[in-house]
Amino acid sequence: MRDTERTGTVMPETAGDAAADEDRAEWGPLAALPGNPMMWLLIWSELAVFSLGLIGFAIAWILDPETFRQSQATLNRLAGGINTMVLVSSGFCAALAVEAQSRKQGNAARWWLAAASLLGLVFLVVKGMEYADKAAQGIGIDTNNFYTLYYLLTGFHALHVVLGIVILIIVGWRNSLENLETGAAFWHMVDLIWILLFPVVYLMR
Amino acid sequence: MKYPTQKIALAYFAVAMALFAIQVLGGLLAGYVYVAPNFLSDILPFNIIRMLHTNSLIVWLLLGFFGATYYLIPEEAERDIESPMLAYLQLIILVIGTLGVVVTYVFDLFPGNWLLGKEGREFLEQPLWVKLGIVVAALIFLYNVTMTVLKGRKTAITNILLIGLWGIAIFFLFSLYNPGNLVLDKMYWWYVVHLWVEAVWELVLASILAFLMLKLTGVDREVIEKWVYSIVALALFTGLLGTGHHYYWIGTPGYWQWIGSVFSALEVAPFFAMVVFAFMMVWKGHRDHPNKAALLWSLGCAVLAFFGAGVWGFLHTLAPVNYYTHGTQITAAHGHLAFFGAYVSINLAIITYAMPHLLGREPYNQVLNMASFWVMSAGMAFMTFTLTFAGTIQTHLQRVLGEGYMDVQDQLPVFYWMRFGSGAVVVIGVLMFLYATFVPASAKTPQRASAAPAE
Amino acid sequence: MHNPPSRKILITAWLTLLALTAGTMISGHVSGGDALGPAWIAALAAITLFKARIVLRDYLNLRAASGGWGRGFTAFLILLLGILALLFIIQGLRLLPT
Repeated sequence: MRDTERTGTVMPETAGDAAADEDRAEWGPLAALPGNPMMWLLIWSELAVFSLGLIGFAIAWILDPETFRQSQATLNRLAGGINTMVLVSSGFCAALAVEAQSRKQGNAARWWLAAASLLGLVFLVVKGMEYADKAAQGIGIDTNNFYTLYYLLTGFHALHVVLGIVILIIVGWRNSLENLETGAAFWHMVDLIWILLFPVVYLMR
Repeated sequence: MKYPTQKIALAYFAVAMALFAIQVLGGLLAGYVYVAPNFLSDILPFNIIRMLHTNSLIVWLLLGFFGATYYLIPEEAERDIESPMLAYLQLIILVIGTLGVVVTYVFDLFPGNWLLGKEGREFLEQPLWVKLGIVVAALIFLYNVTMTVLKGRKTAITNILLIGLWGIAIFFLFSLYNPGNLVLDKMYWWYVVHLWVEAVWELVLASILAFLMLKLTGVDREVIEKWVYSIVALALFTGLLGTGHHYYWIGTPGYWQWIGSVFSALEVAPFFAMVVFAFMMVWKGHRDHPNKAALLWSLGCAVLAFFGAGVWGFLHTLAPVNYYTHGTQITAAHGHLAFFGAYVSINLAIITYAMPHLLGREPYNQVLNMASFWVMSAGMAFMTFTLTFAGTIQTHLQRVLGEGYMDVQDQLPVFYWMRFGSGAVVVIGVLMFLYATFVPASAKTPQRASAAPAE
Repeated sequence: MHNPPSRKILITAWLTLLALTAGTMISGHVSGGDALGPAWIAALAAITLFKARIVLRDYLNLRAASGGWGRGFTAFLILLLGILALLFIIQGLRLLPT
């Protein structure tokens, strides 16, 4: 069903590239984005979910400021800040992996991906220590509305970190540039959400 | 019709349409009981009428999906259905099960019997033997269509359709689990009810809609596939955790109020994408397909699903709102327009498209068919508005001011009368559709068909 | 395929993000339990906006994307962070009866 006239305008390249370019073109405006367009659909969806969650958090705060203020004061703000630095550094490694892959340096790309995953693990360890600390104080998801939202928002995010590490491992194994761009895009999305989440959940008061 | 086994669809569509007629007549009856509460109360209590109304809906929609599958899979996979005999056997099992269910409900035979008695769970009241029969029929069906696709051409449309159909069968298995704890009962019950209509059925819907767009507009398959993948991704992303919006007040932990509110608020997104998709395809399409009625139903499906499932669903999906509106006539308004817009319309669209091929005629009685779309949709829209107003008043009187349930009901008859009237209009529309679909037009006078029956 | 940003751009982005995170921690009074006040809340939102934009533009390589994607995301972030900052300022000033 492809009309041949359209492919005729493509500059002489390898046939595979031409077909891939045409396949991208069918995504319309989404074709302009790096990586697989479906990943960007996921990025928007996740942004929408966390945005609604954060706005809900702020509204719930207004409805019960005393509980929220006291509960937020029990969070380890320093750990949250350190984790932000860990995650932006991890994102840096993932971006370098894509950059290396674009220069056909597959091995370097894999090392950068490994570094990104490792920093992701560091994030999870710090997060796990925060959770353990809360659990030791007998604080759980049902303690009050603040902790419900704290655990939901950071917990969902942490699950994305876990999934992101799995994705980075997969794209390190199947390391086409398109795959790497897509996997890194997921990782940066996780990064982006934490950047939005940290100041609101840990700091604003 | 390119493949002989597509003919299987005809039998499924015929049974589906018969049940459709029974369903709307049952609905009309239930609507009358609303205004005359003692009508038939000894012979056919309201709960039984309602059960027939909802169950026949679910069953005919599923039969329509099966028929649509048997129709479109051969064309997509470019080969005949693996075993027509199995397909008819599957239909026979389903019809026997349906008859068994009706008899069991109406005459309440074997009350309390673990195998033969009705189970008393809304939508899943079927006696165990019927449920097991459904499982057997589903296995036959999945074997039949999956083998057909595996041995033939694989397209995005068949892939998504198969995922949807497998999902329907897998989630139905939760209906066999009936724990004594009422909270757990409801929790797993929604695995069937919600994950059907707000997740895997949407996959079936998107796939049938894509097939129709492909045939009716002539837009490149590659473009349509991208849309379908996007719509399906959105549907699953929002719909799976959107299940939480049923867990607000049934005894499940409080965090479900947040998960349910956030994810189900976004469930409108795939339906919005479907509207954009359908209209974009028609706008970009260069094919002037003779079957205008099928196109009308397809576009109507996208739009009405967006309003019924999307907008009317959003109205009462947020936990703080649902705290007041839960189980009022708002729910009934949403349920009616959502089921009609999404699943009834897509079935009628594919039936309108397929029937001329199945019966070997030109698109016939098109004008009557299109008139039936407007009559049915107008009736349903009016019913939705009526019930929304009734629900708003009910919410205020009952949930805000705290009046008694029956005291409030006594103040609503004017709305229930209007609902009964709009229901009658829907029934007329259904009869028009059935006539347009099954009765051949007189060949000499195609233009005369524009004289649709007066309302 | 898109050309990813150069290493120089990425290093600059990373260092800026680290510095801005330090800014976040200072504006958010990481070691204090006191209320922040409108100015610090606004500062937090502004810094967060910058950080998010750097991630989108350099890490996610939106600079290479044609069309209005970059501006669209920025508009979305301004809206989101604006709403959040406004809500926190409202509650901090106790403008609503509770």
